[in-house]
Amino acid sequence: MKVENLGSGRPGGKIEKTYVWNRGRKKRASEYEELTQFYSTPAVPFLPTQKSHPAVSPLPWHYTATRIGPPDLDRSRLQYEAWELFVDPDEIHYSNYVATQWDKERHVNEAQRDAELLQVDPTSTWVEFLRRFLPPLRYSKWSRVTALQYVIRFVPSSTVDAAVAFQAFDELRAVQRIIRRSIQLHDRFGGFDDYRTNWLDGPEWQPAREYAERLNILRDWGEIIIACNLCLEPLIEPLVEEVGRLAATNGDLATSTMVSSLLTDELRHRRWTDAFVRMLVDSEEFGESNREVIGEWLSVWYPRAVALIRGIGPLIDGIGGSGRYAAFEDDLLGKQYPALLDRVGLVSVLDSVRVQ
Amino acid sequence: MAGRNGVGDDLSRYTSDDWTGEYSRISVDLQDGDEARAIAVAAEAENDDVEVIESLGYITVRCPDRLVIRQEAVEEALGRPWNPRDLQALLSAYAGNITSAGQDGLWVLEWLGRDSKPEATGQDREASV
Amino acid sequence: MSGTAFDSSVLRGVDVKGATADALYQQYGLTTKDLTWEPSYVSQAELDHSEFATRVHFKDWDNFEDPFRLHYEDYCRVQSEKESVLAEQRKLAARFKDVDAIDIHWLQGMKLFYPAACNSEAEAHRGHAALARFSPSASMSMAAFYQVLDEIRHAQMDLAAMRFLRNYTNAFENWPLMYQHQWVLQTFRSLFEDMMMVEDPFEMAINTNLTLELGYSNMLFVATPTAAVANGDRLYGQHALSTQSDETRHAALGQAAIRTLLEEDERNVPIVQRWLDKWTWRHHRVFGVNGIFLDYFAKNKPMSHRQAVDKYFIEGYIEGMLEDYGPLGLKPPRFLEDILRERDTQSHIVYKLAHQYKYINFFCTFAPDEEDKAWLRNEYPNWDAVVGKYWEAVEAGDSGDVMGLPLICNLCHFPCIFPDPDTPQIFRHEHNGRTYWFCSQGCKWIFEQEPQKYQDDYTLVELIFAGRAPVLTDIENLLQYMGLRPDGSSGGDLYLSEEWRNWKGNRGRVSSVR
Repeated sequence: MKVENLGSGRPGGKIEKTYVWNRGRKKRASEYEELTQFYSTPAVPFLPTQKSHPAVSPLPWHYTATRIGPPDLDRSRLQYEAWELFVDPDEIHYSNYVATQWDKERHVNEAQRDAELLQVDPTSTWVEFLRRFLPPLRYSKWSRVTALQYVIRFVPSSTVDAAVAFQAFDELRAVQRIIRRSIQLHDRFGGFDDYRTNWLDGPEWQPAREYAERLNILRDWGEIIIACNLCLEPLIEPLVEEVGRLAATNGDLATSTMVSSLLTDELRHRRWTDAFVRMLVDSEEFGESNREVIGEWLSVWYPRAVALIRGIGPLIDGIGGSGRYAAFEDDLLGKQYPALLDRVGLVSVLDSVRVQ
Repeated sequence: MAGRNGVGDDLSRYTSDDWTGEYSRISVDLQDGDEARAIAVAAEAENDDVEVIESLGYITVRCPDRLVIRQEAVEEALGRPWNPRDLQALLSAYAGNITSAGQDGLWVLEWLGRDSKPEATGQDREASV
Repeated sequence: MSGTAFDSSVLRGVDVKGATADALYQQYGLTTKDLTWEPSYVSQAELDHSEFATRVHFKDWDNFEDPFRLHYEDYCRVQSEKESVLAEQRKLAARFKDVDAIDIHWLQGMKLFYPAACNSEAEAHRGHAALARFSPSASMSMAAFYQVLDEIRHAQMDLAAMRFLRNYTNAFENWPLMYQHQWVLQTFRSLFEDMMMVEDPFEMAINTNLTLELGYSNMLFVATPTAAVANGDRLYGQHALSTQSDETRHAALGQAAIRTLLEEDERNVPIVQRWLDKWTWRHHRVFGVNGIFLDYFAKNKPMSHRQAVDKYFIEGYIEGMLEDYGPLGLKPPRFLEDILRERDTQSHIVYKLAHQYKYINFFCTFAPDEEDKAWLRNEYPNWDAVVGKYWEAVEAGDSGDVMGLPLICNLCHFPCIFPDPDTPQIFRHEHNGRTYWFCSQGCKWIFEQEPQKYQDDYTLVELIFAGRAPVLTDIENLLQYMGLRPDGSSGGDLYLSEEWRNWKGNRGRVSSVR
């Protein structure tokens, strides 16, 4: 029986210092690739001697009969010839992740402590705005944590798994920072403790709540990534960024520092998602079908994401002046978001995302 | 090396119907260094019958039923401030149940069988929200 | 590590030395239990994903509490410090050529360890992702989520170690393929896939946190590093102790899980008991492999497998567990008698097996020398009865290779060679028109409990007979299939190897080369 995946076959003695599937590649494998590929899925590499580029052959789990519930939960409607070849542009692995995040946390702590020492109270209209906007956000972030946990369980790619896991952990970070800041604000100004009622019943939060709930009943891990990273985050995070700007101009350095630090995490999510979607649409074999599937998902999730920002977004008119939200939305939906889709090769699905 | 009554050659008691288990000592294995040694000193000050056993790379601190380690005692032995949560980074093995993992500056390990009750550990003192 | 990590003045406007940790603890309830709500736009059943529904009964999920009460900031602080230590160690090891101090015999064990551990850790992280997502207990869910990251850490630690050691050996050059197809590694793979693919998320807490991380992992990650350091390998020494500092958190979660399950509702007792019975047996089989590190790969032997089992399994786990949970209805694991009976034979049987099939391994093995044998006989008075004849023949010039395929257990993927390879117990079972073979009562019982899970699995030998893998006589292709070098140089007898000839470092006690 001829076997495709071969070792180099040379007698021992020479230490190769590389992995077999990376030999013969023009570009040396990075540390990130070697710490992330193949650790988490039953996939084996083809060697460059067999193919023109290293590809991977997915193998079934031992227990193929153990499909829990609906069959093949590790399959998505998204398809790709070699999932292990996805590369996170930021090259995050565990070691640089915890080091970087600890640095960020320390920085936010210091900035918040300094802001306290300055003893400058932000305006009362700002505080009132924050009461309504900030504390319930924890639930939106948490719903992303749980949805991404599901993806971690099933995604058939070690490198996508790593990107998702670190993102899920970032969302946990955001949840905790929002809670801490809310406690701080409540101690100072009072009135930050009815966030749960706002989230459950407040009309401006219902689209966000609905998004959170619907996101977590999904069974297609690919749809979760698209709904979370291609619809939700590109709409809600710019709004949070806008709030961060308003925080700075309203004398709330503690909040603005927190927001800009959390945004560095979100931008990382944007970058890996861009690379992921780009990879999917550029696929020779599956590009067209992926574009179709993503377009279909966008037509469902994009309107929901728009409803979400239209729910809580207008709150910023109360401190930014009337028209502030309208200008923000025009720019975001009219310019930024189409540019994002263009960047990842999804111009053809722009029609799916037209919303009145 | 052996348990309180020794493990030995005859293992039949572990599978006899009337054996109900017997406690080994409470213990913690800590990666060796200044901190571990200070923790051992703190443990000796607080608890009776503490043994400290050295291995290559870690020390074992053990005592019969309950092990309490206090932040202040560790700081005194160490000669500098010490975050009690840092014990977790050194803790490579333990026997017993961890009922306090640095809350209120306390680490507590104990068995929780029929004759013992866990000490009330840091209840959630939720901030005024 | 200094105490100035973070600052509760952020929260309270007051600098409180030492109370910093408490501030985060105080928020713990808010960051766990307060984050869920009853849905309006979808049903709870849809959110719960019925395929992950648990069978256990709980009156109040909030009764479960993770003793560690982890917080993101603190986690990143502590973990980044751990990672720095490892990175520094590798840097200095490269600078001062510490690898030369590693005894080449010990290194063979390390070639086995890293690929076995790497994918295994990664599979576990998926199981904990399911536990995190589907556990109705918020506190358990949060602890499981940190564990997901920990297991990614461990897998990537193994990868970092392999990247480092591959400057000195080719053993890791095709590790992903080895994990898929190499015969030894199937024992690990089948265990960890089995663990990950549970439907009840709480079973994950019992199969990993309790059984593996409280019961068995200390043998591998606390006993074995002392042997590593005694044989010049400080890299594994720190690697294992550092891994274990995460495992202690996991073990605590396991203890809290089992205690709460048993206390909440007596209907949970038989459920938990069955899990304990199954997983204790499965882990026992695989962790026998740890014995060969302590008893054979280590030329300097600070602890025997028997002593490690006594200290970490019997005393540290079984004794305390039964005293703590016996009153709540838990009984000793079903096959404890078989487990204990194998304490004194397991490592010898497994090492002999490794030497018999050394020509299809990715690490070398070697005959114990006189000093080794004196120690072995002293530790294990029955050593000669178990494996003495085999090593005598090897010493007299026999290669010790077995050039025929063994019968492999359809559950654990070990050859059926237990409890005594000369008179092994083999259990045959018919199911849906197919014949299955098991190495033990334990494996057979496990299969019978859930045949739908295991019935479509095939051992390497069955794959060979079915033409889906190369036959033994087509040795070059079989080696390639397993991710090994077709000329056989990945494994074999250490003293006949190129590596032995070229090794510039520590060569332990030199045996007479045949």
